[in-house]
Amino acid sequence: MDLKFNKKLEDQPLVERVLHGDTNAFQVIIQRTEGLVAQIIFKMVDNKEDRKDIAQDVYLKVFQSLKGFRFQSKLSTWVGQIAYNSAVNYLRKKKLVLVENSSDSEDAGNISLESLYSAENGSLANEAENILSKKELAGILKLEIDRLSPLFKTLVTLYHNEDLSYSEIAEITQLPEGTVKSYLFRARKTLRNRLMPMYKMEQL
Amino acid sequence: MIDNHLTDIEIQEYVLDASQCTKVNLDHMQVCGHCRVKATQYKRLFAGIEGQEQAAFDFDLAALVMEKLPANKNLWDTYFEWWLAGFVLLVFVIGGYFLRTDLKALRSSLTPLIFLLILIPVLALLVFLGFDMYKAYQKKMKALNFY
Repeated sequence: MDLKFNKKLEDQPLVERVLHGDTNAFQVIIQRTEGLVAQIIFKMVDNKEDRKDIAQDVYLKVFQSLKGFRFQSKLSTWVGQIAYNSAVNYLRKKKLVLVENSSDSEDAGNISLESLYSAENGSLANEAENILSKKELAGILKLEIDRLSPLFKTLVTLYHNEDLSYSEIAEITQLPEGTVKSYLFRARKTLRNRLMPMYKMEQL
Repeated sequence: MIDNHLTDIEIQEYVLDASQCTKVNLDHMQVCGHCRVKATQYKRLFAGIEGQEQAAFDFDLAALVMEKLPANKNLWDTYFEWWLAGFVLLVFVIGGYFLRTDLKALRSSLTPLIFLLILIPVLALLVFLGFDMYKAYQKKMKALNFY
């Protein structure tokens, strides 16, 4: 029996308990899926207060729609899908862009950090000065991830931090699996291209 | 010197899961220093991403949501609904019993056509109003329960 099937088996009694009026079981659902929801909302919504509202809204929607959940996917994937849709609706309302133009994302990324580190102008000549601490490097990487479009950020996080497969990400975002792969390749390439001039990759 | 290097996609695929790569690409990676450097860079990038701090809410989401969940329908509510429905039915039956002679007289004084012309709109109106009332009730209950 594979892991995914096992997860579905774990989900079913929990959902049934909620449907029979056991709200404590819903608390367990929240605790189990909160991490994934946080990852999606943090990557797609910048405003702190809006994040709070959206997160609550996600779980109220989950509660209301639980009766319609047919166990065709893992419960967490389904909750993630609701979180993603809520975040997309938020971006639409705010007239924000979900995915930016590819050429722009891949090539025009060096402006802010270039000014800070200007690797190509020889300001990295003094090696001692250039050895950035691991913390600083993680900070730079975070900054660069944050500069990606909301969709790219979300895809990168779901794949690399949440360990979701391409098909699970495709389910959450309702994008074709091929598109998810292609967007992820582009996002990683963008990150690599942007980070390359800043510092040696071996310092990452 | 090797001119035909692997694409970024192929290198990423190699880093993520070398077992899925074609033999040609695997062989290329064995001999091409340029692509190996790129692969190492991607490896470090992925490790960097995976090492990023996990996003987490700085408030108790479960508690906030639980506060807003609708209250559980208790046993009394369910019984009360059935009692109410039973009571309404009883009122109709008793009413029909006491008014049976008048209703019979009314029925015989009207031609079947006129009787149906009255009965059908009345029933249609009752169904429509009942449905509308039920929808309004559900909407109000939902509003009361959630916010």
